[in-house]
Amino acid sequence: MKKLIGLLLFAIGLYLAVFVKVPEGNDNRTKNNVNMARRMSQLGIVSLGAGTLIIAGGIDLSIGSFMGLCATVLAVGMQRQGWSPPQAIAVVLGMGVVVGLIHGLLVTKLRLPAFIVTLCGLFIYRGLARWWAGDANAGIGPGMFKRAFSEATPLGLPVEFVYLVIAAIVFYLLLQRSIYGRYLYAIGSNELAAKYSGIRVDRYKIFAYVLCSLTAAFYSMMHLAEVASVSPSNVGSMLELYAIAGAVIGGCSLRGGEGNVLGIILGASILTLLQAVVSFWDVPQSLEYAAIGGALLVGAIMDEVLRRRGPATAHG
Amino acid sequence: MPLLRFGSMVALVVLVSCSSGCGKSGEAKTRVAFVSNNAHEFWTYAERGCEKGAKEFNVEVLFRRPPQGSAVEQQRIVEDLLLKGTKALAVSPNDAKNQVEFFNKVADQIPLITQDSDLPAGSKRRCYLGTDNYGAGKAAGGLIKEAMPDGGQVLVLVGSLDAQNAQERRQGVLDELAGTKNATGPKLGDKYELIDTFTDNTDQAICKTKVDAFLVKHQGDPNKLAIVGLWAYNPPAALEAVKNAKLEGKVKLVGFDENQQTLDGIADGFIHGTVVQQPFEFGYQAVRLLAALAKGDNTVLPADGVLPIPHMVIKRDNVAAFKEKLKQLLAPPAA
Amino acid sequence: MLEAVAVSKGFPGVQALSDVNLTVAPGEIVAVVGENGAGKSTLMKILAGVQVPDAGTLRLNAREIRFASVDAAQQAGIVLIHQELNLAEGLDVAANIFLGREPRVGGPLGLISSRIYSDAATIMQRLGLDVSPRAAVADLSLGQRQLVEIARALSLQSRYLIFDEPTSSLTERETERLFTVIRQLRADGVGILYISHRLKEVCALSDRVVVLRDGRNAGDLLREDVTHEALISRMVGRELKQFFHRDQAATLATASAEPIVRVRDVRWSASQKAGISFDLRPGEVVGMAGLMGAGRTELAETLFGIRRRLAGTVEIAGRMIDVRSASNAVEAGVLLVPEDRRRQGLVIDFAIRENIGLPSLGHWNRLRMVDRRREQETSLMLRDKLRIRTPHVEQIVGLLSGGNQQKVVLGKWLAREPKLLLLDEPTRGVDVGAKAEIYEIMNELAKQGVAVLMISSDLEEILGVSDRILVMHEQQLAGTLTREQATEQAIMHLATGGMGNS
Repeated sequence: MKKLIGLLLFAIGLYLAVFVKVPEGNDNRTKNNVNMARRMSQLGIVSLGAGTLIIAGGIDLSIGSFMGLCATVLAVGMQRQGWSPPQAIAVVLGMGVVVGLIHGLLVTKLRLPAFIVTLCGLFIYRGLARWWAGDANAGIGPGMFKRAFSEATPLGLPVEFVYLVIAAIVFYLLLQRSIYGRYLYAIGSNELAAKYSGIRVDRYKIFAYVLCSLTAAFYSMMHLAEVASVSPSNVGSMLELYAIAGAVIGGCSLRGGEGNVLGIILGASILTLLQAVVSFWDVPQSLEYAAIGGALLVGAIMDEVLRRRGPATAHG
Repeated sequence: MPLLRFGSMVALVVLVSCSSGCGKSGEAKTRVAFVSNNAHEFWTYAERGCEKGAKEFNVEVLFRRPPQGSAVEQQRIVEDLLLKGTKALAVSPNDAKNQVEFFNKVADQIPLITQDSDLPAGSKRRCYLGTDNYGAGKAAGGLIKEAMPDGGQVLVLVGSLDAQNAQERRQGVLDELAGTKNATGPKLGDKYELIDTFTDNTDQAICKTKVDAFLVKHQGDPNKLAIVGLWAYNPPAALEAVKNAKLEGKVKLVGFDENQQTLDGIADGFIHGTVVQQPFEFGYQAVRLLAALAKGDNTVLPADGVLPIPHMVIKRDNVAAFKEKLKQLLAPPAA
Repeated sequence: MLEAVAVSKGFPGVQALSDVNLTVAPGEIVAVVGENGAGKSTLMKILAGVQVPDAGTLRLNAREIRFASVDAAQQAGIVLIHQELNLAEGLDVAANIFLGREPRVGGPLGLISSRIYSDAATIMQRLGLDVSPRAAVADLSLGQRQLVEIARALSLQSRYLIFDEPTSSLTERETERLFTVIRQLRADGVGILYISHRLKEVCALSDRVVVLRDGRNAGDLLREDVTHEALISRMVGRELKQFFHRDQAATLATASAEPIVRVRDVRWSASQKAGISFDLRPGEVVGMAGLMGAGRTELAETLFGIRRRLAGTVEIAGRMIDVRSASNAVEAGVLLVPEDRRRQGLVIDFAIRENIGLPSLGHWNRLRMVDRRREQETSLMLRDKLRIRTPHVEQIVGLLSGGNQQKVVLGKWLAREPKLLLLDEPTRGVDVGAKAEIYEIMNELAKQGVAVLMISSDLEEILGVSDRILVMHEQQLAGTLTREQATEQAIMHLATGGMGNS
């Protein structure tokens, strides 16, 4: 709980840092809030998927490439092959299920290391995306798809934020209220004990991989709707690292068994806000990554140092 | 709890630094912005041009490069720039065709010009400035003809064919060799043949590996082979691969842009020539236009909406002078 | 002459060795035998420098020695060949033999001299290990790997070799080969200490046998006096404290009931000579005895579905059950309290409540939501019933004592409806009070008609708790003892490969 408050204050600090740099008037501040909410929501949703998998003791390095493949299939399908948006959405969500199943089956049944399986996926999906699009850009025009996943503002909120709220509720119920979530935590903490408790460990691990791939597929819709353009050779590159970083900053342990929904969303927000800080404080562009990495490292070091000095607290 | 303290510290630091720093923004110079399409060093010359322009026309120029070269980064940079009170913007669109809608919305708010790469016809940009890539491609085709007057095979290298400048340059090369419009190959006129076009996802190492493999497999006469690299890092990659295969001086190399290794290769006689753009001029001319547009002065705009920045052809005879000029450009601006 | 004089060693809760004496001379094979937990391994570890004795002295050729480390013992010429071999599988044979002591060339470059291959070949020849010194250890059989370990010991110029259960995973032919090597080493003047559960081997190989019982010397027999019976009578033969005794009436009451569990011809390994068959009656508490590695845990895991069943059938309450996974078994009412409670029994970072709920949540709620209230109520009820000493059930189980942890593992299953409860070493590392409580829980369950099968290496416990005792030896059921037949002698006789009377 205290960790969550710490993350929240960190996020608020960063938000203020951005806020003060936005000139007043012309609705600038509202627009900036909308921009940041949109970016934060997109990353938050995919971080929830990545975080769930990390909680179950897995990892997916192919999130970015797979998201890129989905975005490419969406754009090419709607632009060149005349798919209707619902058709395209169904295809991409289907891809999410199939790819998650493949990852999960390879990891559980063939006992391949998740790192290897998804690292191979990282290359494969990128290659498939470029091949599918014929190595050319693809994009979509204005229309229902863009409205549904980016432009709509129900209750004055960016629609992505609404999706994040829905995703947060779904993942909260799943992870923190349902037996599936309890099993995932147990598997991540001690897979053997879960197995000796009669839990069908393989089934739930596969389920976690499917969830992760599904959120990546969903992200691709919001991404394409926002940007309208997909360059298959680089769309989504490094997204997996942002998604994993978001989950880990939010309290997921790469050893598995730790983390929660609110933390993951705060972690993703902090990453988004850091990028905005770099942008608004005129940090030299060449130093952008260095500044983000440095800020996160300082946070991690302080967290660890102060935890060792502080009194030991029970987990919970 | 640690993070709690850390979080509140960050908040405090921000508030303090802001109470001193925020007031100033009111009396700043007019802000204009220049956005590239990736983080390549090509844009460093443009940035120097922007700096010169900033001084001369008394504006503040925010120079931004999307680190991964993706459309989403570029759009987010532009969104943030708008909120920072930018009064006019020059951009090199990452994906011109699909970004029209986005940039039209930007153009509704502030004057927008494109540079290096243009938006499709009908967009709301005020002006395009940049190299005529098709013309530059034709110039490169001319260099191939010069180096290999009796004809031969041609291999094209480029980072990716997504980008419009890549497509236009390539078309210029093919058309010049074929002597027709919209040539597609593999036959280019009577004398030339297009073997292949290699893409490498903007990775110099991959480009070199592909050429290495190609040269190993290639059966024809190396003297009848020309390799043309369309993006700045392609010619050095090709040169390395050719040296690797001990075919330097035999395989004809033609390039674009002014990569240091390309220029050295020309000086050594291993690269026949390169077609360079003048990115410094992009920056300088863009700022000249932006400064005027930001003040509502539209008289600077060319009548047809295009301000061509001429390309230059660099060969062995003028390479030394050109290198000297670049060195001056890259010298840190006098304080 | 290597001597241990009046050596004692204690661990928290156990006195492993008290005033133990042992000698071995160059060119002598001394076997050390005893029940599980008699202190054999501890004694060997002390001789090899792995552990330091609390009291007593070690002498080598009449000079007192004191080893600070395994290295120091190896320097002195004493090497322990572990039960689990310690080889770098990715490296080749020669590299393993000389690991850490490679002859170097090239000065600061520190290149490894190719001499190791010729040196290794010499030693390997002496052992009859006919593989290339460049063969990868990963490609060798277990027997060959053991010879590599011995080669490593010989390359250290060892004068004394200690073997800890060297034949437990070897084939018959490999065992023969090993004996030849050991006899060869004896002829070369090496002193050998040999720990084994297999009394037949001990009788065949050794010049002298030292028997340990409860961490004390219990006999020192010369070759001509060594017989199976003589060894067993010294290994057991302690007086029973009998602090727990199963009610005689309960035993009688179950004797006539129709079996609820019928296990027929079950196998889990291709190397088993025959399958395992037995019946269990409702309300019966059956002990399963056997020495380390006899296959008891494997049997329990096979019945529970964690280990793949190669053949045989299991029938519970008249229904054949197809146990392919643990969840199958749980549904059928076959429940296992596993051997390693921290690794297999519990999610150590979870609260008591969460651990207890784990196998039951799916059973309780069809909506697939965690029924927090029921979980809370159940764990509170079980906490009181099992007397888990904790103020609240939100306690992380990792912080509980061993006995309380074991009760939580039991609690996981009490929330379900067991028909067959398998317990694998349920009281290991548990204090006396908690032990008695665990026995009581077992009795309570039996009273409700559950068949209880308890694996234990503690003969006293087996004798005290069981209505009937199954004894295993080398992946086989060696025999069944009724309560009247059961004595420590009888169990050890079967467990060490004597003929059964089942």
